[in-house]
Amino acid sequence: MARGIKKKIQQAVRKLSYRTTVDQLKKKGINRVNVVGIDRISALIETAVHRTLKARMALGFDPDLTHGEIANETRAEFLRLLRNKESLKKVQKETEEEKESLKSQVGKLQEELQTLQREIEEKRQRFVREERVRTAAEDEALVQAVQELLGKIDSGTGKAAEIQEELLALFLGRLEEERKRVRAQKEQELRKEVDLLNRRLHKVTQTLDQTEGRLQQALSGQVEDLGVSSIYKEVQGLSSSDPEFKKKKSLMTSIFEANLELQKGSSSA
Amino acid sequence: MTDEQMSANPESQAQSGGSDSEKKHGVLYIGVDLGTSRTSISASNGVRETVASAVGYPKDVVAMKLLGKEVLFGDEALQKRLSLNLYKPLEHGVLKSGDGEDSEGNLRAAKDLLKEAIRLAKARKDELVYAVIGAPAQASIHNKKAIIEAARESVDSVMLCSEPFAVAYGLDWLEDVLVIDIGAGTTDLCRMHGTMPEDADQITLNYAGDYLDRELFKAFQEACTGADFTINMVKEIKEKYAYVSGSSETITVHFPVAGKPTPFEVTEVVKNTCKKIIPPIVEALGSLVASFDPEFQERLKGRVLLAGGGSLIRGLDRAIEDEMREKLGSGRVVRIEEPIYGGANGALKIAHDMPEDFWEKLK
Repeated sequence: MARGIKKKIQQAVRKLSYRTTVDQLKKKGINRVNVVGIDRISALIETAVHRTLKARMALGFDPDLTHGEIANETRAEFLRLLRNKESLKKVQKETEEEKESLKSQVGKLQEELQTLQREIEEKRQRFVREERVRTAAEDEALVQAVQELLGKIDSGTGKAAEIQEELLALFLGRLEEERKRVRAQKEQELRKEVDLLNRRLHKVTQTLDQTEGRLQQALSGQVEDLGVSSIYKEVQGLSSSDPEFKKKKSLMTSIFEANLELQKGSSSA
Repeated sequence: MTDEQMSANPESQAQSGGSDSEKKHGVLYIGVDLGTSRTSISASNGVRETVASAVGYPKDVVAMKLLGKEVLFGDEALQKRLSLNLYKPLEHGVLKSGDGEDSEGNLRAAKDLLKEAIRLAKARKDELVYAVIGAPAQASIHNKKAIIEAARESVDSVMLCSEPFAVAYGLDWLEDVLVIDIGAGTTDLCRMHGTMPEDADQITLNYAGDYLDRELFKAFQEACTGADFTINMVKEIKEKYAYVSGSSETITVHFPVAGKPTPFEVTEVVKNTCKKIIPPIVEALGSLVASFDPEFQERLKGRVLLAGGGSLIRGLDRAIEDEMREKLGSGRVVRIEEPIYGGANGALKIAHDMPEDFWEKLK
C-alpha cells in the first residue's frame, strides 16, 4: 500500500514537471543545473503527509478539522523537512570546505613547528659557539697585555716571571668570576627565550593534533547523527477533552500500578 | 490528582533534575512490539522500523574481523548465521529460558535486541525518551523484569503492557472487543471490556506462524516427492503465498530435486494447511464469548479485531467469520490496517496518553 502511495506521489510530481534535454538547456544559456531526484521529493512529501496525519491521529481525530487545515499543516511540515534537508546539505558543504581549510592549516602548522624547532636548536648552538670564541679571545688579549706591562718593569727587580704568574692568576680568576656572572645572566635570558619558544611549540603541536583529528573526521565523512526530533516539545498526557477520558484514565492508572509493582520489585531485587 | 492534571504539565518537567535538565528540547514517545519473529517500533518523531527478532555474535576473532561488528541484528544476522552464534531470544512469545549459558545468551540477546530497537527510533540526545513495550500476554514476571532492565539502559522511563491490549487501545476499541493477535510463536486472544484485561480475559494458543511453518513443512514433504528444502524456505513461501479462502493464482514453488530446481504446484496444500489454525482460534473465541455477560455476547462477536503478522494470510478474516457463523451463530472480523505496526502504534498511543507524573515515578 505504502509503495502504491509512493508511486502515485512520484506520478503526480512527474506530471508537474516538464521534460527537456541538455542541448535545449544549453541553447537557453544554461550550463549548470541543480538536480533533485524524484525519489527525494516524493519521500519528503510522503513523510510530511505521514507526520501530519500521525500527529492528528495521535491527538485523536477531530471531525471539525477541514481539508484546508490538514493541507496547511502538511505544507508547513513539508517546508520544515525541506529546510532540514537543506540544512543537512549545508552542513555537508560546510564540512567539505572545512576539510580543505583544515588540510591547509595542517600544512602550515607543520611548517611552523619545524621552523620553531630549528630556531631553538640554532640559538643554543650559536650561544655555545659565541661564548667559546669570545672567551678565548679575551684570555689571549689579557695575557698579552700583562706580558707587555711586566716587560717594561723587568729590568729593576728580576722577579718578573714570578710576578707575571701571580698577576695572571689573579686577573684570570677575577675574569672568570665576572664571566660566570655574565654567562649566568645571558643563560637566563636565553632560557627565557627558549621557554617562550617551547610554549609556542607546545601550543602549535596541540593545535596540529586537534586539526589533524578534525581532518580525519572530515575525511571519513563522519557527521554526528543528531537523531530525528519528536513532534512533541513537552510531555502530553491524556487530554481531558477526550470523549473516553474517564475510561482511559482508569486504564492508564491500571497500567501504571502494575508497572510500579513490577519495577519496585525489580529495583529491590 | 485532578482530571486536568492528567494532561501536560511542562513545569514539573522543567523541575525534574539531574540529566533531565539537559533534556528540555522535546519528548520522544516510543511504542515497541517485542515479537517472536519481528520487533517493531513506532515513535513520535515519525520513525517506524521493524527488525527480525534475531541477534548474532561472531563465533571467533576471525569472524569478528570479517564481519566488522561485535553484534548483528535482524535479517543481517540471519543471512550471516554460519559465522555467528545466533539467538532468537523469544519463543512462544516469551523470553527463552533454560539452564546455564544458553539462558544467559538468550537474555543478553533479548537485551541487545531491545536496545537496537530503541536505537532505531533515532532519539535525539536532548529529548526525554518514554517507551511503552507491548509484552506477550503470558510473559512471566521474570521475563518482564528482564525486558524492563534491558530497556532502562536506553530510555528515561519505560512501561510494559499486554500486546493485544495495545492493539485495541491504538484503535480506540476499548469495550466489548475480542482481539486476535497472531504472531509467530503464539496467537493471543484478549477480551476487552473497558477495564484492564485479567487472566480470565486472555487465552494464548500455540497455533501461530511457527506452527504453520511446521505443518507446511510436513505437507510439502508429502506433496513434493524427492524435494529438498528447509523450514526457512517454507517460511518464505508461507509469507509470500499464504491464503485460506477465495481463489488464488496457481502457486508454484521451486525446490531442488537431486540438485536440480524442480517446480511443484502447491496451491491447495498451502490453502488447506493454513486453514488449520482457524478451528482452534474460533474455539478459543467461543470460550471467551461464553464466559462473557450474555447480554453483550452478540455485540462481542460482532467486534473481533484481527492483528499480528499472521493476519496477513489472505482471506483469514473472512474464513474466521465463516467459522464463527457456523460454530457461534454470528461473527464479524475486522483486520487492522497495519498488522506489522498495530502493536507498536497502540503502545505509542498509550505512551502518549500516560500522565507525566506516572512517567516521573518510574524513572
